[in-house]
Amino acid sequence: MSRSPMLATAALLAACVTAPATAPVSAPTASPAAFVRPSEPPPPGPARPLPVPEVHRGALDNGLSWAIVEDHEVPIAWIHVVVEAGEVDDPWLAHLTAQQLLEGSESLDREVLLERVETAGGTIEAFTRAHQTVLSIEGPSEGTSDALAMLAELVQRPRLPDETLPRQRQRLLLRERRAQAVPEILGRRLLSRVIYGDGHPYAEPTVSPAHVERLGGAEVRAFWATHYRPARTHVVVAGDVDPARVAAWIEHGFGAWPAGEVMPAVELPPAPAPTPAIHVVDRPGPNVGVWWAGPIPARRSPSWVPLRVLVRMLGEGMSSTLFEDLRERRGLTYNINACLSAGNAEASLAAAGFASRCPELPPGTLALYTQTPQLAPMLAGLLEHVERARREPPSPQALRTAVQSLHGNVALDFETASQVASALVSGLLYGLPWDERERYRSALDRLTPADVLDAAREHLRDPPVLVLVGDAERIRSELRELSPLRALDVFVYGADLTLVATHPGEP
Amino acid sequence: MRSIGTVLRSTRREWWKGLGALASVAALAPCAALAAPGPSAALTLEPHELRLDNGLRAYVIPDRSSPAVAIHSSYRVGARDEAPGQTGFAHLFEHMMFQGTRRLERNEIARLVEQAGGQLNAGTGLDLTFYWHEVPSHHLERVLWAEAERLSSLRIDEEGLAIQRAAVRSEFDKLASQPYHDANEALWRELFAGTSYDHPPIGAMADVDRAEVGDLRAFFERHYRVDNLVLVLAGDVTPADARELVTRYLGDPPPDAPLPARPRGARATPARLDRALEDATARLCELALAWSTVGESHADHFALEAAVAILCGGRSSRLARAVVERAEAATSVSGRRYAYGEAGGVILRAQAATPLDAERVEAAVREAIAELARGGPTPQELRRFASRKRVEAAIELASNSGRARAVAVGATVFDDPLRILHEVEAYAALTASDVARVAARYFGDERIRYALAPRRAPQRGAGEGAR
Repeated sequence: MSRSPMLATAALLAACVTAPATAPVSAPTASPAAFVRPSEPPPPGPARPLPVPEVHRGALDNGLSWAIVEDHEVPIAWIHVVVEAGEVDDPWLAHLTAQQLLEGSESLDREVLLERVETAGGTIEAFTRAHQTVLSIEGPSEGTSDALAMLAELVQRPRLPDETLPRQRQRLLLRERRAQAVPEILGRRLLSRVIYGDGHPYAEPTVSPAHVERLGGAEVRAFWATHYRPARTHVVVAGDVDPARVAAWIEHGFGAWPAGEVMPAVELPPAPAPTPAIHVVDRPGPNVGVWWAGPIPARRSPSWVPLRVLVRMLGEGMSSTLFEDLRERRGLTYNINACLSAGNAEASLAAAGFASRCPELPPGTLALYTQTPQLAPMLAGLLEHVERARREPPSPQALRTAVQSLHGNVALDFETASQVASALVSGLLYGLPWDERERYRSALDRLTPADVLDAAREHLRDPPVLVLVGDAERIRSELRELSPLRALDVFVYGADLTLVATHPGEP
Repeated sequence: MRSIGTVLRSTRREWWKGLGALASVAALAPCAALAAPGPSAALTLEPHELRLDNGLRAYVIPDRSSPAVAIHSSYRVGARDEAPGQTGFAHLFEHMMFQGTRRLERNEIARLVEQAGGQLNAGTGLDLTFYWHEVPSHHLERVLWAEAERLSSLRIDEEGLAIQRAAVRSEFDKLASQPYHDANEALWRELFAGTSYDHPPIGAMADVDRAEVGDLRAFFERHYRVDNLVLVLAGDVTPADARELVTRYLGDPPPDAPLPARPRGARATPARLDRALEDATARLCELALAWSTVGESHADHFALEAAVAILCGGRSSRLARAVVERAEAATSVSGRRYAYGEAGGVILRAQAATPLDAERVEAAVREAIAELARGGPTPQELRRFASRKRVEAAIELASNSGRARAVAVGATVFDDPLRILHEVEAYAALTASDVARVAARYFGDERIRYALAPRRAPQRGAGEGAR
């Protein structure tokens, strides 16, 4: 193997850091009598127009698409190969296949791969999401050509060796054990099953050792052969790169990949209408985790924009209604949010911003999410806010403020090349057009208070689907104080999420 | 203040990890300009420094490519400055900074920033407390006005204290709900015993419950002063405009009294301890091995960072091979150096779904350490480590918020705004013998060992009406 250009450059750069320190400028402060602090906040200045990020795009003859974002702020490149094969296809095989990709290719030994990436200071990782497997390298931009060549090797000609599978299975089980101890993951997992029903691709299953043992090399290779196709693959490169050269490297690395037969994307059945009920994971601890949740339309649906505004007003940020009332006035919690997590199911949900900020949620969900040591007052407070949001449209001023706030977020969300790249990868995930950012901003400006009220009535469930994680006996005792919820059935689960008891609601 | 800020969960790690990330910045002399190999190769950071006669230090890092600006206010006070019986005060006080002023209602600073499309939060570390905002740049002046407001006329009253004490308790409970929380906190206290770093920023709830308005007013008077503040503006602002704005809003007269001296953080006394603990909420078995080392101000800091990275960092680390692949004594290993201004430690962890053989794991770890102490790292390992540090610094410097954070932490903790670049140089200058020497010196027999295991609790949930 020839010496990697990434490696050579890194050795050179390591000794070269330019840090011109500017001489300090001293400024005299006013004398006590002269200094007068302005008493009123100054008005905002004139806003500068938001630059539209330049994205170079193209596709190869075999169907692979690519996007390149040029930004020379720092000498780094972010390179993502995104394959449309994820947990909805098979949660465990998608994960194992992604991890096995890092074991090298027919002509690229694992040790050589790691040496070439890590010696340059880069990192390589593979991870799966609901609809995607992402294989990425982040490292010095001088190594972009080499990184693309390695990623092309891994996705087209992976070794997928049998001998490393036992260790991968052990890691999978370890990850599963770890997940079973974390209240946030337990809540998310149960929520996904309650909303979508066992067997739905968005319902997060539990891994059992017996199941993992059945995942063999043949199954992993079959998963790769079925799902890894150029027409379902996208390459996104961002950073200190020359787009023309990167496009040529992509063509060189991926152009000979045979198109092959492309499997249709997995069908996502609509989420069933959730049955109002209270689902409790019995786990000791001083706090109770609370999810007040339901499914929402797919990210690409037009209903996403009013939902986005509803969530901003209700529970996103420190000036949201829930935060100001339930934390800052009533002192019931440290942290409370309303969140949207994006999904693709037509009857599922949407996303906050251009990347999901709700790791506590399964795909396609709207939730009010908090933790509290005072469950009864917290649920009473949530009921009040949900009822109000379903009863009254926001005032025109409140809507203007929320829209202005979301417009401002866009300036922050597209500051760096890696942010633009993340937005592109998310756009691919949700089937959004390339000019989604501008469409989104226009849609925000067209929104009316009635649109937001409609979104609240449709998607803020009352009576709710509630998932609670905490001490079950204490939870049941506090629930008795809340007459609006007494009619709901209560289901109690163990830490492994098996149902251990059902308590019918009061007629 | 909120989910991602307080006690540094913005790093999405437990506090004892997050603090390492925050404070992993220490002091070197300013760097002279070095020859750059090419236009895309140089890492640059060019803050314009402004010093007011009242003691305020401000830095401006202009970048007009996007109409956004990051504002980072960093006060040189953290959990290490807390008196006995007042643990958690720095963090509680961070919450109080959102409780309004003479002219701002409670939480109005959040409305002012978020309604403009901005974001804000705050965090408390062991060495410093910081408040950050990111806003569209035409709102910069309003944010500076608000920052000056809360520094000059913060409202500290019973009502605000009661609400924030409840918020802190809920935050404390959230941390305590994580598996092995109590064990990890106990390990931390033993590792840093005898230093100013012997408690987490969230403190003991009993201390927080005892806090009174008068205590907090005294804390404010003592630490929240213009001469204890580093202000960094990064993004769409010119140095000239920044100078005018900073002088207009923070040009207060100098404080009457000099800034009080900071307590020195002593080095922890290494000890040999063995503990076995169980946790009913945990599902994994874990073995933690911890050594007391030195802080970031010490010359050995850089070599210690390298030693831990070579032992535990990445898929090809020595411990991954020794413990997981060769000895098959655990399913995963990880390690981290916890370094603060004047004290530090290292914790290595091995995990498995089934009970671990502690002796076997420790033997494999010790063998790997001994090998590193004998032969030092390979040239390739050393190059990989230095390159990675350089890439990490570059990524931090890619955004307004990263540049603001780097300069603020460097200036506040180490009086070196270019610290992030000086670290890169120091890592590149390390030799194999530097790393071998610290491996031999710090990873000795005097270590703390925690064997952690799940405790099986009887299944509950069945009750009347069960079906």
